[in-house]
Amino acid sequence: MTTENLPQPDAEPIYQARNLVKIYRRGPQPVTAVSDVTLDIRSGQRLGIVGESGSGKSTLIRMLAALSRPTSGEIRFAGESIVGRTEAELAWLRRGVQLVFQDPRSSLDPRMRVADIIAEPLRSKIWRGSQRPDPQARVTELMRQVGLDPTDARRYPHQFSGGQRQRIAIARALAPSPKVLIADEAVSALDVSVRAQVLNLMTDLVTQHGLTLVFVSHDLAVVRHLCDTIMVMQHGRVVESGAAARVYADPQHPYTQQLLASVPRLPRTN
Amino acid sequence: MSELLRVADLSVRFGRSRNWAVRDVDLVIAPGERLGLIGESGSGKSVTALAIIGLLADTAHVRGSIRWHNRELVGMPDIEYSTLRGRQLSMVFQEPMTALDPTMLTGRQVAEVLRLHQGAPSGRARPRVLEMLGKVGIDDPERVADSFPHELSGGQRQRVLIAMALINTPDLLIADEPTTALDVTVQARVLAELRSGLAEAGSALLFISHDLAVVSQMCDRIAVMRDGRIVEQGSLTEVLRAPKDPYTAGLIATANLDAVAPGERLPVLEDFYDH
Repeated sequence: MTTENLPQPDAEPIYQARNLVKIYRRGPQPVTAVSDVTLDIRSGQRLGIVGESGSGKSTLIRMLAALSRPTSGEIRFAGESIVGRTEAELAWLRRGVQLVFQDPRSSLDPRMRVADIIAEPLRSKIWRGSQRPDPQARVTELMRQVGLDPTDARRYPHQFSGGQRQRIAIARALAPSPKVLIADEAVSALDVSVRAQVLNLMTDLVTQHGLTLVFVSHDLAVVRHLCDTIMVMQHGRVVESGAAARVYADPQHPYTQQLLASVPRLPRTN
Repeated sequence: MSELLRVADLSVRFGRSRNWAVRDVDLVIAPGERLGLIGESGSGKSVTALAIIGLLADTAHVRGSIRWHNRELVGMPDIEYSTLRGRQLSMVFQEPMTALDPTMLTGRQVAEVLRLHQGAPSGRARPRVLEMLGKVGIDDPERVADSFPHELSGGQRQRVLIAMALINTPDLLIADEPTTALDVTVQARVLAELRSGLAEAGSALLFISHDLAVVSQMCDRIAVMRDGRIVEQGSLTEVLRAPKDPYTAGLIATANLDAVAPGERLPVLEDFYDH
């Protein structure tokens, strides 16, 4: 399947972030995790954010998801500001933006059955005053979509493999039919052979549902496969961004070049 | 050919389970040789490694033979084993935060390995510890030696473990997914430092990973493990060029993200089996 349906450049951005700064003041020295980041994410775009631990990429997406409040700067989602809103005022954002984390072993509650994990976003207060989908039918539908057997819905997370657990996390994220899926190192903890299956699944789901994808990773090769745009972060700043094919084939910034050179590759044998 | 380690017909099972976690494994490592053991989670790689270094849980049942310098390790009393471990045979684990003692300065932990086996008094161990930390790529050995593990980055912690493992110039280093938890840039540096550390110590290597691309940068020979068995082994170039087992062919294909156009379906293991 090819995905050449790139969004129109003049389409209204679903996310607009301006001059984002995040400073942590917990220790003796304030730490600037994100320093003056400005970005637009168009509807249907697949944006890859690349950088190593401490580059600010996770802090940035936490602010986009309104899980962390910027020290300064502005974020608009679907035209409305999300900074400084109360949780009750953010219900539309919570439905519209969902996250998948690196390690499904710690992001899934081990005492909950898979059906309850997947349906949990449907039982949340974010549905107050709006039509809530039927959880049971939705769980069956979602499990099929991510390649799990719906008859396993009564099982617990530890009864599944790492790749299957990540499928559970993806099903849960898709439950409220979000517009934006944010994935933070979603395949980094998986075996290389399982990684391919989960990447194929994400490619299919993003296409089928017309999702906007924000995919955070330290691995440029994974991001190049999944995303149409790449943004490279270092020390809280964006050092390079552009079309994925261009950044991968012709990286301009020395740090991007270093990231690319560090990707482990098989030696050529023919 | 001289041999350092010969594993023959090794099988391991745990407790009352009838399933063998490791079945009929044969491996040979010559002095200075680097063997990669590759397979997915649960394939038995780590159990094989723990059997070799004698750190299996008490509930393990071991069958077969592990010969080290022509001495049998299977059934060796722990008191004898402990004179080999950390001196002739050492190991680096995936998660350095759990492998290091969180309450002890890292320099003292490295010195302890030296003292245990060479009886060096603590004061005299320090210059050797600092030298070793420098050799594995730590820029400021003094500061790192005087830090607790939680004050260091993941890459630095893994370097401390490598320094501990190599300080007694072991004949064999077993590295179990040593860079899996690290960023790609840090991984590339740690692998380079591991290579030069091994060369200097003259140590052989058993490198365990699920990532064929990483193994290919470290090893001359590889063994492929699946469901507790070795399905294929040979020289790296030979196995990569002409894999004999469909599982190996699948691992090679999934390791090659660059070979697939963006957005196209990636090959998966199942593609390599006839249904």
